[in-house]
Amino acid sequence: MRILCLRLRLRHDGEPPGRERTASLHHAAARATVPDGALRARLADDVEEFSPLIGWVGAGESASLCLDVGPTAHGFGGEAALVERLRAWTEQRRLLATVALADTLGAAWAVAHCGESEEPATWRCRVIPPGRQAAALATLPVAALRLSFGTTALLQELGFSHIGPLLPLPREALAERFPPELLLRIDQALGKVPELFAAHRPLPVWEAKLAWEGSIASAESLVAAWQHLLPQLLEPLRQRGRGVARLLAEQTGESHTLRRFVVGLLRPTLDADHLLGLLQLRLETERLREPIVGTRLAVLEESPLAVQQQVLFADLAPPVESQAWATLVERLSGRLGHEAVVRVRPRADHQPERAWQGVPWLQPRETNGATNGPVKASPLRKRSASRQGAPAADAVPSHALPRPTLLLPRPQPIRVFAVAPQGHPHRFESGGREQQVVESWGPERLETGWWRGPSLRRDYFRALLDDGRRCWLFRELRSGRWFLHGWFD
Amino acid sequence: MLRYAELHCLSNFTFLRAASHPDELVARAVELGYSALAVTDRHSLAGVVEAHAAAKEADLKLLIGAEVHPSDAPSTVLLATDRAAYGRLARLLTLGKSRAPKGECHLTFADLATYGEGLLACVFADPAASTPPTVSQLSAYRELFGDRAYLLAEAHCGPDDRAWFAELQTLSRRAKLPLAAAGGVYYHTPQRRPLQDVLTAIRLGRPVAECGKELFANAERHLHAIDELELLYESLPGAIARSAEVADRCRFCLDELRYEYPEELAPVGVTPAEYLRKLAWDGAAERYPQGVPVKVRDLVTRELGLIEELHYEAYFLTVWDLVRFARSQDILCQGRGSAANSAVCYCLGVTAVDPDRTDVLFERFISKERDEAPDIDIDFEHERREEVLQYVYDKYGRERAAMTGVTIRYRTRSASREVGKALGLLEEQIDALAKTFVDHHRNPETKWQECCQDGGLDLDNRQTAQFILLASELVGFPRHLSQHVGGMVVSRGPLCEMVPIENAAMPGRTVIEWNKDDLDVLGLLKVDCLALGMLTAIRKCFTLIEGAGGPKLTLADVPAEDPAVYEMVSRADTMGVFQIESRAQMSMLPRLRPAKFYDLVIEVAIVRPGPIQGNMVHPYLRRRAGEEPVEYPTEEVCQVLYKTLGVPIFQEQAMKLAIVAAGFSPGEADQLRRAMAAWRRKGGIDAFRDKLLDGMRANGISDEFAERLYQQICGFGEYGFPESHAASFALLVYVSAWLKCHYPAAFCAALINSQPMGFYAPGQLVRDAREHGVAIRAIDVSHSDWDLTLEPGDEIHGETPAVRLGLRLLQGMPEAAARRIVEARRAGPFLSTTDLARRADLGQPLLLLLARADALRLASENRRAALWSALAERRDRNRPLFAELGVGDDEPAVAASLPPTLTPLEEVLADYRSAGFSLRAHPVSFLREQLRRRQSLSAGELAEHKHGELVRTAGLVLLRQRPSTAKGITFVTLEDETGVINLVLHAAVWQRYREVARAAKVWLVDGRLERQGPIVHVVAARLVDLTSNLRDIAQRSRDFQ
Repeated sequence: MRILCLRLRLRHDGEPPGRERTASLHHAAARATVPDGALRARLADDVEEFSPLIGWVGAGESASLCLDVGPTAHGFGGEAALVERLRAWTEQRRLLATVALADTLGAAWAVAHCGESEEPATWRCRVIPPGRQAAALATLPVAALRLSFGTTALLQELGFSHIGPLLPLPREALAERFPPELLLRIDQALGKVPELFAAHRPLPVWEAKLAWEGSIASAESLVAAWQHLLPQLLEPLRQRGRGVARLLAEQTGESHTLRRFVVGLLRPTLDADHLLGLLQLRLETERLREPIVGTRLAVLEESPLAVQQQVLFADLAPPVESQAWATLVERLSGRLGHEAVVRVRPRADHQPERAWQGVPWLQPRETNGATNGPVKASPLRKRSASRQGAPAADAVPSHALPRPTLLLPRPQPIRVFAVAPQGHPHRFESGGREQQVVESWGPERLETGWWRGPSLRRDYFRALLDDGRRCWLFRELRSGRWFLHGWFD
Repeated sequence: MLRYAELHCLSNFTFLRAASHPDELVARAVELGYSALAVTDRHSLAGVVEAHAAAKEADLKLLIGAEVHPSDAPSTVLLATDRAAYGRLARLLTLGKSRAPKGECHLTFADLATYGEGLLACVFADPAASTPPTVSQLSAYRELFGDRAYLLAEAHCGPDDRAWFAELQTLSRRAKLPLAAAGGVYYHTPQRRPLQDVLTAIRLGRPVAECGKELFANAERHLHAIDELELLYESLPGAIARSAEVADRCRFCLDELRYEYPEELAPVGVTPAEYLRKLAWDGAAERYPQGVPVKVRDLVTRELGLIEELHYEAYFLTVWDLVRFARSQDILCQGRGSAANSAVCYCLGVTAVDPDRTDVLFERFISKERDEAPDIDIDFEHERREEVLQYVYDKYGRERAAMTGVTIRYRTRSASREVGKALGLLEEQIDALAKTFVDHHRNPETKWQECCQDGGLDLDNRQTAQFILLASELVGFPRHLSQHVGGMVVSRGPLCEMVPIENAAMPGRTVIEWNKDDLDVLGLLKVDCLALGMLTAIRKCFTLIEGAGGPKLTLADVPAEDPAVYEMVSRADTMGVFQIESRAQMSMLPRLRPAKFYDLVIEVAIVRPGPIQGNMVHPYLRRRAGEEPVEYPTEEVCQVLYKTLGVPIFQEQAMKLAIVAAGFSPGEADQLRRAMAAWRRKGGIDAFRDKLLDGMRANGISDEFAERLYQQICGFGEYGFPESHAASFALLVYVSAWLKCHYPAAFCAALINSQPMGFYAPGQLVRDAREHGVAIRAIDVSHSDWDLTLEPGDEIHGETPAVRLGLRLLQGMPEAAARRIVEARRAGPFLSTTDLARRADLGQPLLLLLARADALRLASENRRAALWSALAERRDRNRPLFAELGVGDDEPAVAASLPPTLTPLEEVLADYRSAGFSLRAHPVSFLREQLRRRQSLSAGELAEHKHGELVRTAGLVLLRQRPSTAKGITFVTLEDETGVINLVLHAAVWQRYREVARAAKVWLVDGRLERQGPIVHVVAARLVDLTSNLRDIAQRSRDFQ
């Protein structure tokens, strides 16, 4: 084996490190080390031309890209030529690289990380000829062995600053005093014991994508592409008896921005036409803002077709348990956006206007993941996240309080006559019509909301009117004015 | 108007639920013309004493009771009708608390049956609760309590109060429980409603905005005016009148609680008075073998007379008993406080301050006018105080003895943090705010605004205004109960019939619900058994001296008024000496130059926040140095102040001045003292200010003097130090100084053996001892015990014994393992690491710890070799036989190939890592060459520079200190190989260099030198972190080998 270890850093100059890389690379430009996640995966994808076996080794600051170039070197015309090509590859991507090539991963890593001075250079490379790793290691500090912090510290405490003095010591003397990792790492670096590393592989996702030669600007072409992609996408699900619960559509624009949106379903489906319809509805509101060069459909969430209702929305129990109902909610949500199609849930609050809230019918099971609109980093603030959590969920038994079934959107000012001071209403005028109060109950005093603004202070009365209807009135305590706030029916 | 008594009212001692102080409730009830008020906290009587004190003053009838929530029956208020019923209520709550975790109380209806006699049960229900009580539940109350059971009609403007009252009426009729009106009160006025919401939010741990229906729907849970109530209870005729009838049935008043002393204090057939007299005179004879001096004889006679007159014999006997027990166990102790420094206490052995030797007239022995309980605190060795507490529990039983409680209250910082959270401020904002709030107490209003501004809140914002209002209201609210550091209460009968007792957080301890102020109000006695590290150190020092062939000493035997001691103290050579070892004290000593015992008493009291804030220190120093005339405005003032040259220094003097200069009665002076102490929490000092100033003006005292005096009294309110305590402390100062002066080796060892205590770390104490010519020997498994020990001195040091450092100095060394090493060593010296490991049963981690500390010098003097061999001692104890034969064959070869030994600096740094100091050299000495190049001066060189010079210096940071009195100034002590450097950092400098200031271990400092006599400070202007330079040197020296 010939292992090449690439220690990559991003440039500090604010220029994007990739020639034609996309927005997310742009964001990362400020950092010195290559951040975890997408960028690493992309670089690993990208470097595939040099080797069939590629992987990131180590975590955080010391993470490095390792390639087995044993099988490929001669295809490039030898190691020297391969290294030259790699140099061009890094420069194109505006990456700083420290590179070492050796027989073992351990030796290559050690040389790449602890080899020379720390001064940043655009390119530094050392090739350790086959079989010479012991000599190369001897002068390196013990930290180059990738040992746990404790072992490294202990070695240093005993005065072993470099690897060299360790190598001639009797193995038993070391085995007796140090954790097994010490001998293992030495043996691996010397090539006495093989070392494996985890290969980079793309994540298995159900997805289907398509790229055009040029670019397209019409919605029809995009829909046609989806029509073509959907059966491919659904087939593997069909075989496993599962349906789509959330579907992502992602379009790459000419300027390499990604626009993505997600459609959710009340009931999982395998119906390509239905899905296409939902996608189309969204497209009508989203529109294409620029010509696009490619599209990708991906299944974000799938679930079994048979037990869909219970699994997904057991607590919701839609009023009409029918496909039609589900379709309506889905289409409305698709068309208007998820936030616009809501159900009413009680909320624990003394103020009647605030004692309910609208909860979207279609809520993704996790709120992270894909968002609508252009992809941008928007770290949810912890505070607001928790605000949505607890109180909304615990529904309050509203039966305990006599509350009207119809609450007026806004309390309606009324004139009340014949009232004992601070007492019950006897007669009032609303909308030009006079109403006689036959009997009334109350007052129920509500004083709340001081933390939101001026405190709300009301005395509520339930009133039976001469026409047999019952209404909900209150007197605003501060001003003494009366309002009609709802009807019991 | 109808008579109305509120029967159901919670005070803020129902933590995090109710929102008014007991005295606020009382005051409001009086204002509204209630005929009585019940304070009925949830499962607690903690607030009744405060309410009682207020009610007594306002002449309001107070009912004592508690809200009880049985798990299997409707909730009820229980009210005590008489003393016996009160005792049962306290017992009931004690039982419930003993079953539950701290802060909770688990009771059942059966418990009410057991203890319900004489209690009135007022069952209540909340219409907002889902299920109202059933008829059968209510009938059970009727059966149990008979005509002592009531149903409370409470309504708070709910959806339909009329229907609710109708329902209650039906229940009342069917269960035969009479209906009485009640408020279910949570606060005294509706204005407290937002605060009550905030308390709910704090209790639930979420912002108010998310508390929803956990909050009350309106602000009706206040004390209502009676005419409002008449309207409210229109549909329940008689309910209001019945509340007053219920109140009339309660005849219990807290004043009936009389302290009853334990009986077993005097032998059978002897009265306590006779016994005390006998003990006192016996003691006197023992104290003065040459005959009791006339002065002392007179004092004892007078004091005994007063004690008898006020019936305090039992108290003195209780104290005597504790002291006697401690002495029998060889536990060093000393009493302090007004009564402790009496001739009687000297004769009883409670104090060692000889009334004959000191020319001091102690006022306030027991104040007859004030009927105030005598005050004696007893300090015990801190490591052995628990033995004394357990003796008390054993002697009197858990039923009759418990610790005094302490009410932990919200302070500025905690209040702002909690209110911030409740109002939904962001975490960062709350942190920023909390940082700006130093717990302040003057001018609260403006201070709050300033702090909020500093913390980044917009003052015009509504939320900010709410925040300030609510947080300042919350300050002073009780938050939870804790235990007093040492106050013990013992009684003749079961204590739990006097006050509920709960289990303390510490196992084996029980705590009463009342704090010491409560006990004061009721005249109940407590004895404070406090823990004092210095007593431990002194006792250990006595033992070491005796063990090394010296005399056997006690506190009273130490020769008095030794000039060598005062000479040493005047040089500020007092590291390790009790009380006067702090930097502030040390800088005072050369100016004060104590020459007699009373000077020490003053020294102890003067360097305190009270005198410092009251600006008394400098006038006193000037007068003592003769730079300022000593003047007294009147003869009376002279009488009070002549001992302290006209400057009030002791708390007693401040109170006395209020009497003689401002015409206060002794009772008023005492009120003033209490008002001062409670001031932070309640305010209300201004009335006294006017009275003081007017009174002094009337006595012809200048306004300027009067104003100054007022400021001084304010300072005392919180931090005053009474002369009677100072005198007891001064004795310990003298004794410890005497020990340091004459037995420096034993003193050093004893101090370190008593750690944690005192002001200095072991490294500094060791260094100080070395500077006083004591030989110090390194930690070594072959010689060291757990504690530091004395070994015979060498030729250089002559007769002075040497100190052998102990294993206790090693970070992470368990005492048990050290004891095993010492035990195993008795059988003979250890031959090898393996031998040590086997005989002392030490695992590898401990061997490594010893090797790293260079305490494992068995195989080689080389630290690395020791570590290398310790590493080979894996836990496989199966092969000790082989190991004993010798190490493996390759070992010598390996040892030879080991990297070279440590450099001197590495050795020093390794010492610091394991023990916090090094006997080899000071780390800064390795930087000296570099520092010299940078023109940095050593501590020794600084002493030769002049006041006002710009200097540069460097050292290892020993201590960062920011006293609350110092206006944001931080005092930092640096150390180098020649001595210590005192730095003063103003807030701005600290702020600018805070990264260095907080974290760096070695500083380079530029600043201006300030000199006051021999004391030198550097006022820092610039800091540089040198920590990495030291590390670099260590690194480089290794690389160069």
